[in-house]
Amino acid sequence: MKQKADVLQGTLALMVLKTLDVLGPLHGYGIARRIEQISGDLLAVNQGTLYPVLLKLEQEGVIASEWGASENNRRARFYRLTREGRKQLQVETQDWQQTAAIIDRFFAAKAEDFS
Amino acid sequence: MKSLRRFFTRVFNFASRRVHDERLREEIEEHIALRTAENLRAGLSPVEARRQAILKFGSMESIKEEYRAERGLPLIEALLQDVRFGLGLLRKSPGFTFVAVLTLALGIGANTAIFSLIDSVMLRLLPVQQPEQLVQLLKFNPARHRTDDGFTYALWENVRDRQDVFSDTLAWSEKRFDLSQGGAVHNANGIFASGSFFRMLGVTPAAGRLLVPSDDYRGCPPVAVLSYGFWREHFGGAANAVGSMLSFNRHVFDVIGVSASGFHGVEVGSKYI
Repeated sequence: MKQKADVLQGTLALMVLKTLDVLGPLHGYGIARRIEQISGDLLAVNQGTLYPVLLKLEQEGVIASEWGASENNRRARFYRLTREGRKQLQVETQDWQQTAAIIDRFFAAKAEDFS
Repeated sequence: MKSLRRFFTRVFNFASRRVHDERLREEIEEHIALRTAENLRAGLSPVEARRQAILKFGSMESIKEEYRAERGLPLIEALLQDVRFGLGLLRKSPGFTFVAVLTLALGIGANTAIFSLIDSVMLRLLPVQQPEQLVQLLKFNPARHRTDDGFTYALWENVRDRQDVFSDTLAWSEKRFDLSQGGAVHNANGIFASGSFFRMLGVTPAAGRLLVPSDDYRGCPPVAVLSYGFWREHFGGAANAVGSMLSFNRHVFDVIGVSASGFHGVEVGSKYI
């Protein structure tokens, strides 16, 4: 559980960027819903942790936000990817894939591969 | 670059005290409302739908805390809060404040006083020319394993006339003199000094002349040099002090001059007349 929380910040930020990249402008709940659907239990509890991450990303300038109307016609804050955000998403996707590939190879390795 | 930008945003938020709490509150409300609506569609009762939505959102307070920490400069904000809280407490109990301030003031004052004493006695050099070249000779008494006080006059004469280590030598003896010519005792601190005293220390006269080696021989007439302070105090700095007579322990001395201000003898901290 503790470990999951550590991983959370980084991966959550990446998921937010990817979600906004695929779906376009979304409000906080929409992002949470989407991440929940795809990642399963990562956001099953503590969906609120998303909001500090959103603020951080906005301060970094990779996403921007503005008020808009939600589905049920209430005021909601909509987040969208900035150009810088798109660039960062590309870089981080590559990094992530590289890391994942390396770890994969290690998991796939058998004893004889090391001899 | 990004972290720099983030830092500036934080500083700006901190400085402008921009209220983001409202925005977060609104976002949370919206989030819960949407989740409740979805739970309702899934067939939960209104109460249960909202409860589940709130549960799923997680701890409201810790998220607000995290949000605030992300937004401004939490360290400085906390510091300011502490300072404000502390000042409030001090205002509430003036008695305690008074005692605390007084204690600090006295403590700082005492420390300053002690330091200035140590500074003048132990850290500073004598206010004479080239004080770093001065050496004090002491006589060691092997029987008592300690240094004895002083030299005899004969020993001093030997040191003065025979040594070839130092460029100059002087001898002095601190003494308390009675200045009165009879009647009430009027004491003043003084120094018996050898003729080379002022020459070697490089002290200049403020009036008249100072002792010179030629004043110093067996059976010489008694002459005295006043310290600048004594001169101001007892003669008001008058020029006719030079040439006047002073009585020290019932012996009459000719005053030949006044030493420069700032010279107080060779024992640091003490004064001579």
